[in-house]
Amino acid sequence: MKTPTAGAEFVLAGFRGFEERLNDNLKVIERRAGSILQREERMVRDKEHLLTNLLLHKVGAAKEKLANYNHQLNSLAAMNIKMQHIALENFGQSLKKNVKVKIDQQRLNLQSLEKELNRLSPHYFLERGYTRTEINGMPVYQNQIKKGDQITTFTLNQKITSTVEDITDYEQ
Amino acid sequence: MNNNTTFSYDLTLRRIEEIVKQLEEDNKGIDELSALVKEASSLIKDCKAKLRSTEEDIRKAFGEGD
Repeated sequence: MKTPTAGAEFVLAGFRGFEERLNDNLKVIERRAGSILQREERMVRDKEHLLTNLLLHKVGAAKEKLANYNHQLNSLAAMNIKMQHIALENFGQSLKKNVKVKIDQQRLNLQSLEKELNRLSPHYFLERGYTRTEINGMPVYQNQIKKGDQITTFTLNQKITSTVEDITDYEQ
Repeated sequence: MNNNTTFSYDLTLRRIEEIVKQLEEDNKGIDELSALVKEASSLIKDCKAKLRSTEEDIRKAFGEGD
């Protein structure tokens, strides 16, 4: 160092060199930092992708499980409804059979009453040639008959009014 | 058939049985007896019609083909 200026220039040159190296180092650091950031970003993206896949897989599995439950429930409900249908059908058939039996019984009952009615009908014995005699609108056998009474005799087609002239008791 | 909606099979049947009993007792004039026989015949027809309509109702309720 011959002069102070030369000394200053020397120092300045040293500073510039230092600054250049510093700048170079900064660039290296920036590059490395950028590279590290890129790598980290990739890792984060990968993890994000992995998580998304995992989540989608879990959602898919849950959906499948729900679909299975739904299917099982539908099957059970369908089976239950079918069984109820069968039970109702059987109940209906049984009811129908019981009502039919009751109706048949009632028909027989009515037939029996009809026969009885025909047998007791005045028409039934009048058409066989018998007659019925009444006095004052009541059967003769319930009334005392005496000479001079007016009696009415019914045949199948006629109503005959007569006056009693003579009464003879049957010999016992 | 009696179109009255209050038709009762049981009551009608009871009336028929009552008429049969009266005919068996035979303490009425022939006109009344004839009227009773006619009434009973008509009631028997009503009851038969009721049984037919009940059968029809059952057939409809449980399906025609059953």
